[in-house]
Amino acid sequence: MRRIYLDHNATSPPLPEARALLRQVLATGWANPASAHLEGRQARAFLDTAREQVARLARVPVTSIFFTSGGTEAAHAALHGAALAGTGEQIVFSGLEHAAVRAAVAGLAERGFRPVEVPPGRDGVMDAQRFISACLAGDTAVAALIRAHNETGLVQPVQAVADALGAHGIPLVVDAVQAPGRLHSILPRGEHVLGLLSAHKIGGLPGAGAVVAAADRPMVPFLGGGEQERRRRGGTPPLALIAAMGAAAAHLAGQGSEPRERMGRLRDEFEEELLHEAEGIEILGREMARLPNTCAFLVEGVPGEDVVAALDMVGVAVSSGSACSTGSARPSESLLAMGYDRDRARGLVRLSLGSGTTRAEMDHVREVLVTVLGRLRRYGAASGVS
Amino acid sequence: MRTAVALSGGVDSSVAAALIQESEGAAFGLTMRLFAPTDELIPGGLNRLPVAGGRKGRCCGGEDTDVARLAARTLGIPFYVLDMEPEFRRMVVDPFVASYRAGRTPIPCTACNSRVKFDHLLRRALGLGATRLATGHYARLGREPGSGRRTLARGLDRDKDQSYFLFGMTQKMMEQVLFPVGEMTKEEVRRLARTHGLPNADKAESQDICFVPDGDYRGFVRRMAADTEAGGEIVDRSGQVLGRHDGLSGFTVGQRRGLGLGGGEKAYVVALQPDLRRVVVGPREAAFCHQLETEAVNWVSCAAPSHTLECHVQVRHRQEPVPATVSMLSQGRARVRFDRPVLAPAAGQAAVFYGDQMVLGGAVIETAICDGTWLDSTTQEAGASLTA
Repeated sequence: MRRIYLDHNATSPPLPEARALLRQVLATGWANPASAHLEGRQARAFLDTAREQVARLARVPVTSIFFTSGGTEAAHAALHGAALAGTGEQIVFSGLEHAAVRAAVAGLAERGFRPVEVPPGRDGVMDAQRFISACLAGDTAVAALIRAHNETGLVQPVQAVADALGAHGIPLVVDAVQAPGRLHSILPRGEHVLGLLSAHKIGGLPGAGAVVAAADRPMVPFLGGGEQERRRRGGTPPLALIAAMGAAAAHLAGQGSEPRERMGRLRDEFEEELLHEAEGIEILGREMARLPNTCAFLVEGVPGEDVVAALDMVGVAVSSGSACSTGSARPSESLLAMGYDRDRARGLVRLSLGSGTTRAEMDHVREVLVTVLGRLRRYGAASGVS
Repeated sequence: MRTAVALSGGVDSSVAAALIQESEGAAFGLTMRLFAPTDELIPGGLNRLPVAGGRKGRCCGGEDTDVARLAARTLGIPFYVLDMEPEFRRMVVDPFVASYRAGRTPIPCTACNSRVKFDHLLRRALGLGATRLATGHYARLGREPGSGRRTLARGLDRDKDQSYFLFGMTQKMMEQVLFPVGEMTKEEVRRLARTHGLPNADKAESQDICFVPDGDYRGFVRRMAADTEAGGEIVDRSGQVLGRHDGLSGFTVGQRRGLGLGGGEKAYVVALQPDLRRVVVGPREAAFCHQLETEAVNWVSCAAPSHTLECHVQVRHRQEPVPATVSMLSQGRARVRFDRPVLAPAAGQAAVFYGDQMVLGGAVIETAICDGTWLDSTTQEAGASLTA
């Protein structure tokens, strides 16, 4: 069966450049990049190159990048690193944060920090002033606001928040995992911004990620160990995966706005037509600034996971929100934070396009989606209908 | 033709899937997620079901879901987990707790079968494109040649037979449901599982109620209930107070242990009186009943009789059915008169009517009427609410 993959926000397939580089690293870059011999230097060269490539993508100095095992570790490293290096008492985070950020905050709460969650507006966007006020109302050690939401795609006012917090020297962790290749500006400007990146969302592979943090920012390492990554992250880095991440970053940094705009057009046309052809659908944030590849909608009376399963069996891969609770299907925490009740939040379906997605694919997906929704409705699988 | 198989993680449903996949080649697996994981670390988490015995539910918890997934992979069929926590809670767990607190002894599995598996899950399976739903139940579905009526019979393996829990099946459900292992013995099922390389071929049976894996119903009911249950007196048959209890939910008729009455003659719970919040104890013979009344009967393999029906009636799982006469009362309810007294039928359990192997019908027991001669007069008058 021909498959159509529309779950790029969960994992994007590795780009050809990333696959090619992976093979090279396995051949000549397998040694320990901290070693003093030729083999070590060869490995080190791959690491250095990847760092330059990721720094160029994030538009920061090369010394501002340190690598991790992925976005989750990056979240822990940034929050933990910034909070423990400062003197603040509270951690302010938005109700839109990914489970990795929430877990890092919860871990810090156990160490005595006071977690302060700021709910987004009903529209799924954080009110910048509200967030800033929460940060300034107490002695904030670190704050966290996602760049663009992984489920709804809604873009958050990170620059305004970064400017305001920066004036007070409060570090702001920005989860920019979904941004590369999808937004022109990946991270807000500001010396107190810490960014989070993940390889497998940008055409690399799972197992590598990065924290963007100014080289002179004091950081307590989350993973202690050797002298790697300028003492900001112990342990031998997952070099092959980092190199592949670098190759993907170079690809994205080199492309213009055309792929983003094309995805946005495909998505918008898809939504327009879907609304005509299917009933009981609420598209989230349709009139608002969103990741151009993300289409999130709520289906009335049908659990999103049923739509996912039904589409999977006809060759279409989508998701019902964050893939991070494997195999389980809990309603999106963020939708609950946006004020949707649990039953409504269960109806979430997310399509996330890639730069290779075609018009023909989207037409086909729309057709099968309309059929599938009709059938699911007919059997009234809705929660509450017993 | 595409069949969904409800995979619990156990060997029976996995073999059901293997049989379907072999004969039709287009099965897919569904696992019901009935409990939320208890991860207290995540702020703003969902309302959670306090699963007894810690983090691991025996059935349908995280571990069993993994086994189900592995079984599906072994068979090469698609596999999906469907969240049914709210439905399960509303249709099974909450009524279970309420029923215990009302002095009854509920069987959650029958509610789960007729409301969750063969209604909610079935409809979701059909919505996903299945034409039928298969499960690993030991019971046999058939069709009466003349009338075309669907029939339900005991599983071939009498030890494993689960027909008692399936008395709520309707004709419509039976049209769309398959029990592929109903014609097999457990030994055959395990052998077939090994042949297919299934990961759970030798997995131990689960005996307890899936959401109370440690068997401590009383503790579970207490944790789940919003308020503290009122206690009451433990009395003998003459009404003399022997002690106190701290909630009816801990008691079932026929129960001997846990009364906290100390020495003396062996005392059994012979009745629960919810109106008086009393537990009545007495000698074992006092817990025998010759008659009971049920809630509305679901007629399964035959239509409702116009007047009476001679059959065998079973009042709990693993009990030899007793010859009885079922007579119809108003609103589909029935009275069952046993040919010989039956030990401790409990309100909330099921009375299932069998004709040889066939499940004719069944209902939840509303009131068991025991030999009332020992009851004092006040209790006699409250006889209708007596739920022994």
